[in-house]
Amino acid sequence: MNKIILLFLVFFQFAFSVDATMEIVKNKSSLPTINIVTANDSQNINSIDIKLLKLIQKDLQVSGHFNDSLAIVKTNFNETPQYKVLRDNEIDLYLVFQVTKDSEQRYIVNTKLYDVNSNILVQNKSYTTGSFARYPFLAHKIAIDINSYLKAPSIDWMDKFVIFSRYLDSKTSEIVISDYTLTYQKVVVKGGLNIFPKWASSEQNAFYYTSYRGEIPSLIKQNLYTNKLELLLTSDGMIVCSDVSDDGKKLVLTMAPNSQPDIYIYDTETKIKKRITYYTGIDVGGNFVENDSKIVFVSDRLKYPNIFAKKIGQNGVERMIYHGRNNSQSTTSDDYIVYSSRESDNEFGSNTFNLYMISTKSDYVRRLTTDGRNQFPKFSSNGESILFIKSTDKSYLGIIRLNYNKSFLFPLKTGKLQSIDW
Amino acid sequence: MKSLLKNTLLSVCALGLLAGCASKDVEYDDSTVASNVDQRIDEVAVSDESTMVTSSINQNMTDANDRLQKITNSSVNTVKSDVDGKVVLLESVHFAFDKYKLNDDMREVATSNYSKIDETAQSYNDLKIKLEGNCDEWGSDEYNYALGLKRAKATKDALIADGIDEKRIVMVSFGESNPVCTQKNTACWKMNRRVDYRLLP
Repeated sequence: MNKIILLFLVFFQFAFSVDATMEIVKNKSSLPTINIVTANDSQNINSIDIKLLKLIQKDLQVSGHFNDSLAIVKTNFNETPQYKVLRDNEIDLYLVFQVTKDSEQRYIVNTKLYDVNSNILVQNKSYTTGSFARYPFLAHKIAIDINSYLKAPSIDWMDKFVIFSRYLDSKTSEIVISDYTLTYQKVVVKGGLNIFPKWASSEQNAFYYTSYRGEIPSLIKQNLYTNKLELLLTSDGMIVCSDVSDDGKKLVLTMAPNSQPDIYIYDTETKIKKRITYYTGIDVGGNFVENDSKIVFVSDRLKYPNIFAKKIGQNGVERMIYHGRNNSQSTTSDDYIVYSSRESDNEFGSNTFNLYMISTKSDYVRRLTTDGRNQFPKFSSNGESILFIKSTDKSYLGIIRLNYNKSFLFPLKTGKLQSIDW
Repeated sequence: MKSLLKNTLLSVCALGLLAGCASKDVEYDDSTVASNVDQRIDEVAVSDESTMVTSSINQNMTDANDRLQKITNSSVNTVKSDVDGKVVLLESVHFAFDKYKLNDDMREVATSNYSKIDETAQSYNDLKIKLEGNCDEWGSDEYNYALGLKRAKATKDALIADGIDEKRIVMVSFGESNPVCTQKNTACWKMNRRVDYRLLP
């Protein structure tokens, strides 16, 4: 009898030894709860420990993979957590971090992540930066690593730069790189009117933008690290780089060489541009879709802005949107299009612009925002998030997490957002 | 009973040992890996007007703009051009919401401007006319830049029809980047939907 009980208990233990965290991730209705703690021997320089704590919490919230985290302010960095107490409070993960400075005055953030349900230390890492201003990227990396331990869907995009232009005054704008929360910002182009920045590739080493510093609008390519400038093209009236192919070799441009705005594709290797649209009105804002075989763009060929598609190399244009009377600014990812639709027709008062998502392969339509002025949508590289601009009396950078039905807004303190890319 | 309790206690101890054995199979990272966030952004450069280096960008237009001044009243926008000491006032043409066609009133304004330009051009062979298209703040910015350009084109066509040589005319669109007012009302939005004329000797 005793042997049977012992065997039963042993069997039960092995059954319970399955990784509890994996079970939590698979059950979407039961998100893990994480407790984030700062070490009591952290160096409190410029309140960096509190700033890091808040930003890590924000990152985990935005990810959608965690319950809102709890935070106790101070503990000993090397102290083993009280697992039972944490489990009694339904905590699944426990993160303690410590901020120090080395002999060269570099910030070092040491972290320890514990899996409470397994009673073990699962990550022991260090992160460094030479500048206080860059602390947001420390927080993003920490959040990404926590998320990776959980094997949750990737949030690596949090570590990428956002590039945007903002109007400062009449015919004056500057181009800025930032983290996705706009906490870190660095001006990379200033002086005059510089607009529509666009990353040249996913590596984010260079970007394109339109400069008005010359006699006619010019498309410039600038290296982010060497400051090398390359003049690609000029065009009477306007020139904008609207999209870049996945391999970075082809650009979708809006140009007006004969004062007529149309869509072009420019091959960066052969330096040859090819005209795609021939309509006498307005064709702008082209984006590659369906493996770069098609262009989705905005046109007023129905006497109001709407979204159309055209297969490259073929004649004929296909209408994509059948609702609304003013649809503009589209972005694409695989077979999906997100666009901004004006939902009021009022030249005498405030207008509402909402974002919608459709599929090019079906009748699927989904409204992504409900009120306000929401424009300039941009898909993330993995297609799971949308970056956009929301305007009230201020400008906000917005993030929509498509799989979690959540959106977040980050205010811009100076200027008015003109365009964004990530 | 005591025997059962004793055996249960032993089982619990056994479980504890087994838990310890199971945890050793779980991988954890004990390394200290310094992820240096600086590599990507230590050397990000800034380009501005003083350091921009390209061989074919012409700075002349920027200098010419410095001599110009705008005068606005309650319903129209007027641009003052200084052509070697001679002041020429040219009224901007305005457009309806989302449109780029000159209505009859604005066609008259365009014709009036042509007369002044033609008179000035008699004395200055190299005179150029720069038409700047502008929009209100509604709509997408890329579409607005195109809309501003179409407005400039419509104004250019009017000048050509009246007799100005096409080669004298250059156009640019500033979209919504060049407002003459920033109030949130109908009158201001109307003021911003315009094409400005600038004379360049």
